[in-house]
Amino acid sequence: MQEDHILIWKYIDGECSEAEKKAVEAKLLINPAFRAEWDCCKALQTELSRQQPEQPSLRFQANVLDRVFKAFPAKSAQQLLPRSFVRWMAGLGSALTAALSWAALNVSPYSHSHSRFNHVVDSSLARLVDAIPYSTFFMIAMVASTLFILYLMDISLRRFFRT
Amino acid sequence: MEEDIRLVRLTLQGSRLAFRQLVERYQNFVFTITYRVLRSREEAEEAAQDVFVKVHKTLASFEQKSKFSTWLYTIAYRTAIDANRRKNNDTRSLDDSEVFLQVEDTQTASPVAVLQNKDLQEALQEAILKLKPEDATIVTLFYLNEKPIKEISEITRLTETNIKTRLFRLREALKHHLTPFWESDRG
Repeated sequence: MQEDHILIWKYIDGECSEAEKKAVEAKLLINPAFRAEWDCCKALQTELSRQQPEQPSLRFQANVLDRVFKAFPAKSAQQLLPRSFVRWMAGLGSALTAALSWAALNVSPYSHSHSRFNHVVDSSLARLVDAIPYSTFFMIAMVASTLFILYLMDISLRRFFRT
Repeated sequence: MEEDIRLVRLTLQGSRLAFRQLVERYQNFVFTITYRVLRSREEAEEAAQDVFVKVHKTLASFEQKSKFSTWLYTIAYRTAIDANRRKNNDTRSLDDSEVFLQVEDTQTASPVAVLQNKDLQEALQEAILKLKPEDATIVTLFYLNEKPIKEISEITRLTETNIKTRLFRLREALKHHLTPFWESDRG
């Protein structure tokens, strides 16, 4: 009987040799007790295959992520780059953007300065604006603004998530 | 499998979203393993959380020699077995089993068949929870996670012959447990 059970499970698991397969199929036709045992094994196999995984609570994923990210907080941009470097870059970018914007808006060939100092500044800025093609100027301004915005976002997100 | 590797790589690069996706993909399977070993929903959930924390901590050591799921289930199994050893308590509440029933698909089956099937699945779940932790893990990995014997051997550190023997014995035990249901069906 034990051998029959082993043979049936081997057949169901697909581990039978050709000779064993034929033996099982022949027994199924002539042996009612073997057939009944076969039916039980097949029914159990079907039930086991129909199992569904258990589901944890709805908070499970959030709890896991809380634990993981508290233990291993993400590094902010300020931790990845030296803080002084970020500040210098933000300051320079802001100053450059402001200067170029002011120059673009206020310096024109029609402005007449009476002060020598104003004249020197105006002419220097005019030369600078003339020297930089419009597309390059626009690109520098965009990059500087983006850096500045990212810097501000980094600060505010760090405060928001308290990392 | 390729998707797992992609998510692992992204997690190692610091992507939280990728790790969240890994948790989402495997949380039910990991929880099922820990639950079937520990037989308590609360303890299983705690252990399953520990599994994912360990996975995140040691992900860099995953060498891709085996599938990610095999590596993950190895951690899940060992964490659950360790927790079970610490607990060292075989008693469990009989009321708990009702919480874990799965809802059957009622689209094609008749109400009577649905009721019978529900009872049968319930009885099966209860019977699996009565198995030894190692046997409950083997039946879970073999049927639910569809892991081949070789990978189950890697996960549980039991020999393939031992697993085959255990699988035969536990299926015979389960069959014995469920025979009254099939007999009542025929009757």
